[in-house]
Amino acid sequence: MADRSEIEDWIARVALSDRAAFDQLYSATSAKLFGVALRVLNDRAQAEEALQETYIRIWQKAGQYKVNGLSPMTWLITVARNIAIDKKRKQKTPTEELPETIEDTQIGPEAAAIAANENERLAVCLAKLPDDQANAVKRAYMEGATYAELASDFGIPLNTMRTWLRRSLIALRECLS
Amino acid sequence: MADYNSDQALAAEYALGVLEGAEKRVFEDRLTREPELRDMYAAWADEFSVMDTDEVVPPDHIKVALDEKIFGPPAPWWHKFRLPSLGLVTAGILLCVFLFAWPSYPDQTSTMRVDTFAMQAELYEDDRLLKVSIERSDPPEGRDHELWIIPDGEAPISLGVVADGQLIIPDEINLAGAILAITVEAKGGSPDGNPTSAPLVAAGFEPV
Repeated sequence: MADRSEIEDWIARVALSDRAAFDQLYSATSAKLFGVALRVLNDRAQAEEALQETYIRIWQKAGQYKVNGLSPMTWLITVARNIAIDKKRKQKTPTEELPETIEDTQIGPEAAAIAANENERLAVCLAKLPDDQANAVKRAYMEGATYAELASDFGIPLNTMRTWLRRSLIALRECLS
Repeated sequence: MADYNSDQALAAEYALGVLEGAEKRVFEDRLTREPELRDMYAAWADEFSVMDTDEVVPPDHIKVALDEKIFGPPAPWWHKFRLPSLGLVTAGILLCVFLFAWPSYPDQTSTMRVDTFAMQAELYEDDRLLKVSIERSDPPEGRDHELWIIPDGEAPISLGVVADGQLIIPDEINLAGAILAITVEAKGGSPDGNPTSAPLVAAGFEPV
């Protein structure tokens, strides 16, 4: 994996329309960003489309990378995630029910992914939350789940869901700080 | 403290992606003006990004399609054919001219040989004369082999359907670094003067 300063350097050069830097950035980061798109969209064809849109956006917006104060990899992930989530939410028909099995099929690998990062502070702090709350945070991030989806999954009103998640997030921040 | 918590929760919600609609727009507007809020958001985004552990190498065709979208269609195939050591070749030509400066010897030759096609071409630079000897030309049924000259970095120029004989290369074609190529075309040659497929075989000239 390329280190932070390498990625930062490529992004800076991409902002100057340097195609070679773009190629290097793509080979160093596309597997990660494709992983993000696949996880959110859970559909290969759509993830491939999202990945292309992601790098087109990166090519066009590299000059704005510093604005949000994100680390370079986080910025790239954020671009990929936002595009995948937008795609996922746009295609969702209002009548569509969330599949009943989503927790079985999705939470398992996610939990494993988190477990693989046991050393990370986030994993430690998430583990300190009640399971349901930790799962809600993970599902929102990993799958781009909305409050409405989470509320329906947990069988609670939307406002309750939100109060509940916000409380978890504050607890998480206190643990992380 | 209440406000701190509320902004922290908002920043976390935004980083998670659960903030929607007007609330999201208001938050994004505040982000552009409030450095503290920006720091909160950036800290959350960095924390959450440790969950992005899966890596899946995308198929190669994605990058090809992506490049085409950003940079336009790829360079035509003949751009790939460049003689690696033009200086050396030029030096070779000059040496030939000095050492064997009589007209009955070609300056350079080009040999092409594949299963269905074999040809030897001799180039007499001063006279811009190309002598073509076909050893084998077995195009698919109802098709012809067409000969092209490709000046360095330029588009192919047709020299006609392959045949034994001599032809004069027009003055406007730059011979330095040029290569020859054979394509399979419709009977009688490509209808529009451009190759319709990648070359069956291509080769540069070697000094004699």
